[in-house]
Amino acid sequence: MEITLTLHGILRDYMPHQARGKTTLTLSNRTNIEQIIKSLNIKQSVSVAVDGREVEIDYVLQDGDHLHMFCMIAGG
Amino acid sequence: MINGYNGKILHLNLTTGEFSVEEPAEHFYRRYLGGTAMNMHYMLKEMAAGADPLGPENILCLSVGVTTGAPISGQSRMTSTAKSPLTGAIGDAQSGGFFPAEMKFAGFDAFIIRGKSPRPVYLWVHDGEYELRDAGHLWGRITGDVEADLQKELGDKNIEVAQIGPAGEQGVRYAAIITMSNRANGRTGMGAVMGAKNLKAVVVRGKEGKKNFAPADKQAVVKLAQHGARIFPESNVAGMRKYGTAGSTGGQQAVGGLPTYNFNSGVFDEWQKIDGTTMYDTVLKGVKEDKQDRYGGDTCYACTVRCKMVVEITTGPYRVDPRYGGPEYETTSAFGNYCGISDLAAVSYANQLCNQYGMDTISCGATIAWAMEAFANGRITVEDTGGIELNFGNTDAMIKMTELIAKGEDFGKILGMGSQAAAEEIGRGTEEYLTTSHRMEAPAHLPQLKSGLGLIYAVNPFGADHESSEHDGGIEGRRISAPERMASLGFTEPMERRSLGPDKVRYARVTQYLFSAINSACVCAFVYGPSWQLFGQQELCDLIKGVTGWDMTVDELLLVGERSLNMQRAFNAREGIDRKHDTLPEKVFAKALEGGRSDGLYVDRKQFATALEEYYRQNDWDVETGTPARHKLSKLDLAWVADLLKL
Repeated sequence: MEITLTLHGILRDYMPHQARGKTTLTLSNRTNIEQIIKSLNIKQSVSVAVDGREVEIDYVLQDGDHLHMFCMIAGG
Repeated sequence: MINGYNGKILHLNLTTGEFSVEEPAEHFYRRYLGGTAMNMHYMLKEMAAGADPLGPENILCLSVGVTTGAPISGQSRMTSTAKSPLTGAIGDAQSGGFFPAEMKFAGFDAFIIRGKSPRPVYLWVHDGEYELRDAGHLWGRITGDVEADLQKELGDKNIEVAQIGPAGEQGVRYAAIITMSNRANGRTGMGAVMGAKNLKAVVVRGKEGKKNFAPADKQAVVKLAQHGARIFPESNVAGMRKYGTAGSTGGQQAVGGLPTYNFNSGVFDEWQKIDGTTMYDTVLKGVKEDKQDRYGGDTCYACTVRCKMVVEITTGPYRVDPRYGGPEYETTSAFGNYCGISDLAAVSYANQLCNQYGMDTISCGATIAWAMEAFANGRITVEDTGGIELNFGNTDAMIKMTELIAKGEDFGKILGMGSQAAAEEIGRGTEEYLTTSHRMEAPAHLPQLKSGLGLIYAVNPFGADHESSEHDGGIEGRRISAPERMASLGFTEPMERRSLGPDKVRYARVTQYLFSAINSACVCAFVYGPSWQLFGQQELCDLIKGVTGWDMTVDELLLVGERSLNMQRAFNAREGIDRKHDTLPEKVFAKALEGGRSDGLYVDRKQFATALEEYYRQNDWDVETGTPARHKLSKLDLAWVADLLKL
């Protein structure tokens, strides 16, 4: 199955610069978000949303999902 | 200087030109830590109720905290406090940079400024010496030019300048105090207060102070600073160094939390054009040579985070001089998504105008967005605007309006009063579009989505503010992001983002105490805080102990914050401002958000009213009035405030 992954802010640095934080991933069934975080070796604590809805990191991804990951900061 | 503070407060009466130096005892510093709490001591004790915010009777307090100037991240902040010309209540604003540390090194912990000078002057403070100097030649000029001239005039490139621009001189109600020509004590109109006093600038220099800064336990401070540098790369604030605070735009958009079209929607289709990553890729200084990491960022004194962006644009209609910095998330939101504008150069230019003329970017952008919605609904017309088609998405109109406000011309004069006063002036039902609480325009976080933060918007003594409590995200999710920090405040169980029961009220209230303490200690809320920040509240206590020698605990820190909050509420009560002012703008109750993931969300009126009463009860305040009584003030070592208010 395929999902779209968008990494926001600093997290995009876990991808090659040219990707600008966005890529398509081909995954085996039953992959959850925590496995993606581990595979990318992301160190920060992240918030995750699928198609705009915030979910927990044990969410099992579905074909066609658009997964957003961002670092929680607030303010500015 | 020993143990972090000078032990000297400089009092100045601008009407008479008289100075005096107060030397408070150690317990004074421990009770307040500095900043807002210390300023409130003077606001309550030395100012009568009913003062005209733009009259000589208003007092402007500029102060730093006990740790300001220590060699560690996030300590160089200055708090300005006065009665606000925007809100009529207590006004309060913070900013970082190099001014705060230099102010401490110059020999004083606070400047308490009364009266009104008969002519424009600036205050020059250096190595314990002080004098008023003529500022006639600086009046009417923009910040960058004034700063350069003062460096020449005083023969020192290392002076630090806190000044007003022309907006402050003209009494724009949300005029800011600007340092470094790009940092703003932005909120609540402190620049207008300074302008009304004919005080153009405060200039500081402390050649000896830095050398003489002697923490009680230097090793402890150095060790903590080294620890911060070590954990920074994997921390949540690491992204701020590259992408600034605007790096959070995408996350806000993803959950429908990006206030758009004057808070009518939580999503902006063109958000990517104004995101911090786009800023990094396109407009940061040095980008053409791929050297924006080297030239495109700036910092505050001794800070490892370096979250300040520096924009340079040399072509096109909106050219930006790097000395005026770059926009924060709040600014890209206020001039961007609030107004439906996605031109990053224009947003950066509006930021530059605000820094040159000295205005709060949030209130300025939000007031324009309010006018845009009124224009879209025919309540404001081209008759009002002088022919400007003030439509959402009209970039040139947004810029033109920012210029008119900054210069106090035409319709800009009305918008310079702030949106609420402008709505009262214009009438025609334009109040329907306001986004204000306590008469101050809301920052770029939606109360419809962050319920606890929404409560704080409503009850915060100086109006809707995003740096007065931890946001709801800090406690939500099955896995809290900083469990130890939260546990030390008594929160172990996650809560839903949109919940507003007694537990969420407690979360909002206790973190409000912490942020009130942060604004009193004058440290940065990106570096010290209960959640995603570089350091937690325990490290802040460790820092205070390392600098002052006091055995500061988290409980004592929270008590300072609670004390500060109660002093602010008491000040407002004396001004007749109480529970009836503690509300959210009508539109967040009456109209649901449209589009994206937050489509259909609104604030439930009944749930909000229940939470409000719970908040008063938890604070041990009078539920009918929302104000602290004598017994509460006495518990906080503030019986003298009860005496003053005749409680």
